[in-house]
Amino acid sequence: MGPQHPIHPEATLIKLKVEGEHVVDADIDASFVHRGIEKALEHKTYVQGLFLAERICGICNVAHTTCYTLNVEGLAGIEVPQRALWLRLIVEELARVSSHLLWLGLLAHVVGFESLFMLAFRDREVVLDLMEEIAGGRVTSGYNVIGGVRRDIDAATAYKIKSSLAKLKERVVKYRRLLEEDPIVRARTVGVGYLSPSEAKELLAVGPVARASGIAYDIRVNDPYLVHEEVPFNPVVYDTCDAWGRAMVRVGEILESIGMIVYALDHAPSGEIRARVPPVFRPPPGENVTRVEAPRGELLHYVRSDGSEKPYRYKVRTPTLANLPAAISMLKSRGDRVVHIADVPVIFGSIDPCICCTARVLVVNEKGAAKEFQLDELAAKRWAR
Amino acid sequence: MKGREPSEEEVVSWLRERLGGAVLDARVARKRRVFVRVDREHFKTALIALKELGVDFLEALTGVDAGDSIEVIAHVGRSVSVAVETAVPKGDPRLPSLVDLYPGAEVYEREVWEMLGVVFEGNPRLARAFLPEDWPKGVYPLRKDYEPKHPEPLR
Amino acid sequence: MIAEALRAFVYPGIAYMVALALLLEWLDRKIVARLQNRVGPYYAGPHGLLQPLADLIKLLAKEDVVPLGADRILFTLSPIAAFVVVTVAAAFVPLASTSGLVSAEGDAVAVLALITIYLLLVYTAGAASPSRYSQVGAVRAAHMLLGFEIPLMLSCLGVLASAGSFRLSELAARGSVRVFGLHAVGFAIFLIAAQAELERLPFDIPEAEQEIVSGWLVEYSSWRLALFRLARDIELLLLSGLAVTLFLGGPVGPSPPGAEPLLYPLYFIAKAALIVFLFSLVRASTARIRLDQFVTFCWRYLVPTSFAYFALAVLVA
Repeated sequence: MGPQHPIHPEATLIKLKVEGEHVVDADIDASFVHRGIEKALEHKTYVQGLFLAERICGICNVAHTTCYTLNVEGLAGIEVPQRALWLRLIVEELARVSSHLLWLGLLAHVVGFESLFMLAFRDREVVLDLMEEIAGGRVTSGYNVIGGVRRDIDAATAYKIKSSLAKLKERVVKYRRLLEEDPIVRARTVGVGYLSPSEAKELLAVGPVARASGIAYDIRVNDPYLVHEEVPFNPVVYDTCDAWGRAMVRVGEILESIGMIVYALDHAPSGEIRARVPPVFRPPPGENVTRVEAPRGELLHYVRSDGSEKPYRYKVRTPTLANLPAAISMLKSRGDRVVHIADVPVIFGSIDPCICCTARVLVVNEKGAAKEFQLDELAAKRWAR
Repeated sequence: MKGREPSEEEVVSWLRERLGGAVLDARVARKRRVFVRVDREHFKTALIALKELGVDFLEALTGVDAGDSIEVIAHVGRSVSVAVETAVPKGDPRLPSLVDLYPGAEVYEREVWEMLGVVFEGNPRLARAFLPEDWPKGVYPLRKDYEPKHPEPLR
Repeated sequence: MIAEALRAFVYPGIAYMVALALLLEWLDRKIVARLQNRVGPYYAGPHGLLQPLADLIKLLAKEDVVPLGADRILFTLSPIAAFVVVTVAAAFVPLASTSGLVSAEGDAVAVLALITIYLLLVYTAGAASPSRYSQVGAVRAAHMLLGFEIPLMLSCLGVLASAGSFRLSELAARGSVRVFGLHAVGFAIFLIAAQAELERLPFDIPEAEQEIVSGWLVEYSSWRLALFRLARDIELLLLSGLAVTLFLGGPVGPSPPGAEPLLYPLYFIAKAALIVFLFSLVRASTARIRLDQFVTFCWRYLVPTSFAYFALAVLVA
């Protein structure tokens, strides 16, 4: 199924071996969207790299910039004002709401529930408008910078956020009830895409995929960054180990995030929002690891500096990559756990795949030296395969 | 979750105790960050030791081209993140696979092999994962000697 | 002669059937859209009434692609045959008066047979295409047949038995509404089975866009696709018309003498619209069921109930 298929938001190839309608074996080829970002980051200054990091993924862009800025700030010893951390948290949680609503719409679409898809996306518009008010962009926010955030949230905006989110909360509660009660949605997700707790541990699953299998692993709790230690919230954990559980985890997280945003708006200290940082700076030689709970799970950034103005190495490990082995395992029929073709989009979708995040390394020219291909020669070569 | 997770100091002392001189360097960088360097022969042993201690989650495998050698860093831990580093010479870039410890490591090892050329012996499927199908063999893009050609603008 | 031709081709013949079919499609799309907080067709014609027609015309303007490896004969014949079959079946259904365009003894059974033939055509349409997705879609359609065919037949036969006639125009002429009591069961079964026949949500399994990219339809383009779409709309007309005749008393209603030719078509449209409204309501509020779940549902609930209904209907008659 793929690389072009209506169900894939990005080009992925899912190879299935089927007997009738049952899936017997599976593999995923995520090589179609490779862009060479890690290599590119080695050629950019830290500030330039921020813009690149933001574009690793459209929908997770806030998670990536949060992680990147924290990583570089930690490496270079840049002190970020308190208010900026609170504001970052607000925007990060807002992005989580936006991402989960999009996912809910996609799940509905996958299951054939067009109405829920339409409604979820309608509600997401509310969040996108809020993001635009706060940061200037609906999806790619451009909000985090090294040293803080770019814009402040004033009282009027805060009020607007709270009232919009209050209305959104009512609707999301209804969607949660729908997931709990609608017989067809349940028939398509309960027991589908089973991942036992031990499998989840061995296959190193992260995020909602792990939390739906009973593993209470959330970076916001395990390794708090920003001001998570001061904002009360409960990580959402289910133990049904199936696609339904993952859906419930994500919907639950939307509600939690709304609570966090409102709390943060009320408790954020006043003050500076940005520490001025020169456009080109040289962090001392060293390394740093930063982890962030992106909507899809744990995101890890590693940086190593050699003292120059560009990173010697920048590594990004996205949650979808971590969940790929689990996804492949879930796609295979085993014993009396049969996987139908119709379940494949549901299972693959239940890990909330973001292949753009995952396939990040290279492709510009095949031979480092030797022959140079014309563009159409290259195209012909591809098609021949 | 297997019981309480160890503290940063406990991780360092445990490793020193178990591996002795194989630990070339160990430091607690800050809260929940430990960086440890071990020699190549004890890379896997260190990870096994950490798993016994309760640090039993592999988050990522990073490869870094460090000139004559390639450094491989295993990031383990849920709360405390321990970076276990080792170096393999470029002429003989082999390491034992971690797949029997962490089955999910298969895809991470594939990525490091593909990008930097480190061979993880014992990995059942050390094959192309992210590069296109017609990528030439033996060319490892994340190595420092690989310079991507800048694409020419389409006319 | 000319009068016959006009009747056959214009009113209440093919042209009228097509127009009604497109109207019902518009109604369906509009209702579903409003239920999803959308506007639906809006720009083509007043309130988008001409949208279905516009879509058909657009399709005709597209390139006709016959995939390499397709069975050319079947690939060409399937859409034509599909259109012909449903139109002929619709000719028996009373649309504008108490008699269909054509009426004969036992025509109800003919209609049911034609419906089954249409489904077989869906299968051949998918089988004629070389694409993997078409094969899966075709097989799914055939598979579904196993589930809903019997309930569909039995619910109709129950009504026919209790009415004592196999002639649709006779039923329409009598105008008896059979929606209460025992017939409520038959009505419900018919409605469910009809939606499965029409491959509408929650039963659009053979065409599941998200899994098999339009299934059996996927390789058809231009006029072939237009014919299939049109055939589907006429099928909607056919089945709602059947429901109207069997259960809702036909295109009959209070009317001053002599005004029947004017009012009866309107009554039909109103009643058919009611059926379509029910269908749209279901479509807008459900997700897609899986094939094995569907077949299980049919054989566990629908089939036994329809047998019981049929037996009781015969006994009571």
